[in-house]
Amino acid sequence: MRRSSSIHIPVRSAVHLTGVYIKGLLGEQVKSVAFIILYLIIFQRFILGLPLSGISWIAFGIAMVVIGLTFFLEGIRFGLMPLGEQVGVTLPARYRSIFVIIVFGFLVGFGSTLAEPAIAALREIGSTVPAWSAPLLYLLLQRYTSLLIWAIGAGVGIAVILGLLRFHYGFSIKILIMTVIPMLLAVTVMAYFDDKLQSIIGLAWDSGAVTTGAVTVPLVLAIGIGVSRASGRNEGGRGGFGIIMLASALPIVSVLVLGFAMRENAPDPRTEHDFFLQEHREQAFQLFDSEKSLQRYAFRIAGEEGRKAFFSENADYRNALRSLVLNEGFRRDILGDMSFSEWLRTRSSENEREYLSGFFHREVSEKRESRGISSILSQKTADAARAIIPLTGLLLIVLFMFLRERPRYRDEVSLGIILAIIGMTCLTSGISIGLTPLGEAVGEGLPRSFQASEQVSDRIVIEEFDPGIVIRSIQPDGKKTAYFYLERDGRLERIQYFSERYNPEKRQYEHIIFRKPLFKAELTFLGIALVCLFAFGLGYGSSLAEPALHALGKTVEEMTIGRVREYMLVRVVAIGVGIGILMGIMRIIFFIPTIWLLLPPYFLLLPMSLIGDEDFVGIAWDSGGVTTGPVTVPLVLAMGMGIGAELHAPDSFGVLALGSVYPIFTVLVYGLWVRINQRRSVLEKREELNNG
Amino acid sequence: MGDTIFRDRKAAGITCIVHRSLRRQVMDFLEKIGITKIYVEVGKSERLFIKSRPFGLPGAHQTLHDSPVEIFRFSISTEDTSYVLNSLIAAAELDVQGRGMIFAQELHECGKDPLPHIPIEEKSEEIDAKYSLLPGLSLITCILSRPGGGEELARTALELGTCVPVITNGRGTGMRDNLGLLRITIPPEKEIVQLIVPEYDADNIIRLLIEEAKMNLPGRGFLFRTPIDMGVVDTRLRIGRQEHAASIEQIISAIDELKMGTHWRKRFSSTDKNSFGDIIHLLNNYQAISFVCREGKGDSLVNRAMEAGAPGATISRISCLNLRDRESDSAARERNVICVPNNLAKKVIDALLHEEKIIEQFLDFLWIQDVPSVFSYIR
Repeated sequence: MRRSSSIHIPVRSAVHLTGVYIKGLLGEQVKSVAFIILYLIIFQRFILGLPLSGISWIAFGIAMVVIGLTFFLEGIRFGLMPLGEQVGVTLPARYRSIFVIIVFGFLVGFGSTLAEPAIAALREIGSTVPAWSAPLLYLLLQRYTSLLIWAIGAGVGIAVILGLLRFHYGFSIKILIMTVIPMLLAVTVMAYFDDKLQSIIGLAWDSGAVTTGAVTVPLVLAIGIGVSRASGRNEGGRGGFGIIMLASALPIVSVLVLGFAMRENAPDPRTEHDFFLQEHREQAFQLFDSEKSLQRYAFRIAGEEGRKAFFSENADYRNALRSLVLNEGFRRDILGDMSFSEWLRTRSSENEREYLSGFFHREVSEKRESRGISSILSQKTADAARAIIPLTGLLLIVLFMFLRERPRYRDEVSLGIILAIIGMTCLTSGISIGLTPLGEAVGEGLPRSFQASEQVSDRIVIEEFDPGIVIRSIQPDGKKTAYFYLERDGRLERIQYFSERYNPEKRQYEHIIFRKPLFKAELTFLGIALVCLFAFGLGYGSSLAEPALHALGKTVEEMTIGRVREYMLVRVVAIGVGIGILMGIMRIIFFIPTIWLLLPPYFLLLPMSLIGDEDFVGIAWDSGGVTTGPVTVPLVLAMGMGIGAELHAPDSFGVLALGSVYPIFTVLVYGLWVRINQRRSVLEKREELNNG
Repeated sequence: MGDTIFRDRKAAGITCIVHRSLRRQVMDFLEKIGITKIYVEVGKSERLFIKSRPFGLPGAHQTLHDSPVEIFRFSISTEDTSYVLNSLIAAAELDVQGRGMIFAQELHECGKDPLPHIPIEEKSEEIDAKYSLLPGLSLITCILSRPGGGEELARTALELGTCVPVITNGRGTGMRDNLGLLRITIPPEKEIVQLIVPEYDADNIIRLLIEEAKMNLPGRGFLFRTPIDMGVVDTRLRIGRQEHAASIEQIISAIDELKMGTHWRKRFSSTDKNSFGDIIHLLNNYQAISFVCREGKGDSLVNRAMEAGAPGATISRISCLNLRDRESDSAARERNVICVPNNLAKKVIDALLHEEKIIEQFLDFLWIQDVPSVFSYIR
């Protein structure tokens, strides 16, 4: 907007204005983030009793999260969303043809998937999945990753097209729900009955949940609102919801379809032993390039059985084990990033350790390089830029070249884009520096609470152990115990001495650290209840901090003229996510197949959506798609993987998908409650007056 | 001016505010009588919901209860006013309290299309049996800057017993745009509250509202009043628990009908001082210029107006429903309202109509109304 005159504001007033403004925003974000931070800290410190290490990093990370959220939300508020709305309103007006809307919608949807780094999350969840029991999953996730991304992108693209068409023609969202969701459920059930496809159901559903991240949601919402207003067919400009729901549902279908298509390229699921056998080598090569990479996999992921099966001769097997210890080059090649001690601790079996103990006399000290702050920051900046710039660029190009218009406030849009990038960087860095370590610590400590027996957590081999340092103590009843002091990381620990752990020939003492269960053996039920409570709180708290949910909430408040407040919507959705994450954790603990927990809610949702209010139904389904963003995903991953690893669960997929379905419930219930309240008011008809 | 496309004429602007579920009835009726283009805005209306206190404590608990409404605006020729009002009331049963309100205002219109003409055969006799169309009303429009200010003002208005307030959202332009990037620290969103009150009481009600909402402080907003020729008001201010056989509003509305007007309700004497003893000064002799154009195109027009001396504009998003031709162009519109003193009015209107390229393609119409009183913070 060109202004003819400009008022000059004295610097002091300008600073004061800006100060008040920023203070207000920061305050709001602190309130959103406070819950999850306090929750994690209190849980870790007081309930699990773990010491808080790196508190300064955590505090720094939290500060970054708050600043990042503030900048990001403001940046999209006056930068990206007005841009999206302007394009959405003007595009159908200028180009009346459906074709333009379809192409534009597909570009936005596909582009947003390529931009958002959600694939990394899926990869991480899938990293623990063994290739022998879930071959198709391994194939899609590790070998044909780009195909997978394209399939997801195509799903989102079609979703945006369908959503925009709905606004343009003005048909009810219930029609879309009634067609898309049953189709989705049918495809899932079909996949369940196929042994190969069964393994990718979790992947498919979680890919639906992780699309539509913090940048896509506000943009797609804004575009949808613009298109809906331009068509004028939707009840007085309240439309605009529904695309996000589709963008979370259709990728599931496309991934499953991809699975159907690639089915033949994957070997049959087998046991670990069978997979590595020589006679099945050809099938294994469908998943691995060479013997070498298969061997690497055998060491990194598989157990003793697999390794034994890999080497047809026992001598070769022992040879390889020896080389692992003695030949550093071989070890680095085979184990890669994993340190030898970590391999010993997590992957090796008792037999292997026993066999190998004769061979190493020196613990190879391998320093694990921790990622520096600057490398994290630069990577996150690159991620943020990659997430925001392509989509914004697309909109700007469409605006300038095809619509021949300028944004209303050009400087605000530029500032908004910059703020959004900075904000996203700070947010994701802060999460990775501060929040994720917190979550991981709790995630690892959590299984303690319900395992009935003591678990080995770590072993330290002490070289050149001098039994002379062992001191004795005596108890009042005369029983003697032996102790020695271990100095580690600058701290002095007193360790109980067990003579059987001392090996006099090699002069080594093996100190095994046990983890005690939190509760006594009979109380594991309480332990599980604690885990579930934690899961609920994690889901609830992290949703409160999700930027995409706040963007949706503000939009809803504006579209309903304040009748549905952002505050209420966010809380209602957060409760739903909490319930969902709780269900997800129960799934991991009790090994329930994902499909049993996922399908029944969707079946129930169909009739509930039919009877609900049109606008509430749209808002409810969109809320489901909006959850699980940059805050929830890392935390849920940390917790889920921790628990999954402890229980040797087959995979941790499904938690995110469950976290996306229960919010739909809670919002629909909330909508029904609002509607019942509304009934109080007003509309008597004349006949009632005359008769009554 | 000398614009051949835009015709300058006197017209009656009809505003019909109904509960969202009555939308269909209104639209069907308007299509039937031949009105093609109507402009719709969404909003909410507030009422007081009375609940008894828990545990049998004395007194009643009053909360605000909102319901979604749609605001339909269109213009017709002045002769048809009474007919259209009456038949629309019949079609949507607006005489039953709680369903909505409707009123007609006299104004000058510059519009492209001719005013809809309702053929005489369409007018049936029974419709002329008038509903109690009240004369002597005024529409008070309050533009508030603070979020949540709308509900506060609505509560005050309800507690004073004035009418059912209608709240909509809008955005303001004006001095804010001259601040450069600093404008992001001042949110542009405004809440617009509309109230229908009897005319001679209007100024005093305005003073009461200003005092209660502390609008005499800077940065809170401003309000202005435009006259209404005739209308039907929604008197269902309170819902919920009722203590007597009839609510006070039912009694008032019955007496209104008996006395055929609201003049008996005069409450205040003409010189009422507020609690601090200062008289709140209202400015007189203003004009409200409102125009509807395609969304996004109003900026340059508002710029011209501001160059000609207008202080700014309040912009609301509305939809244009073309009942005859569904496939026509985009429905997204914005309604810009500018208040200027009489002496500046002509200059501003000329400046607006000077932008021929824009108004030819994107302007729907321009309305000019008299504003007897305006209040805003003056330094």
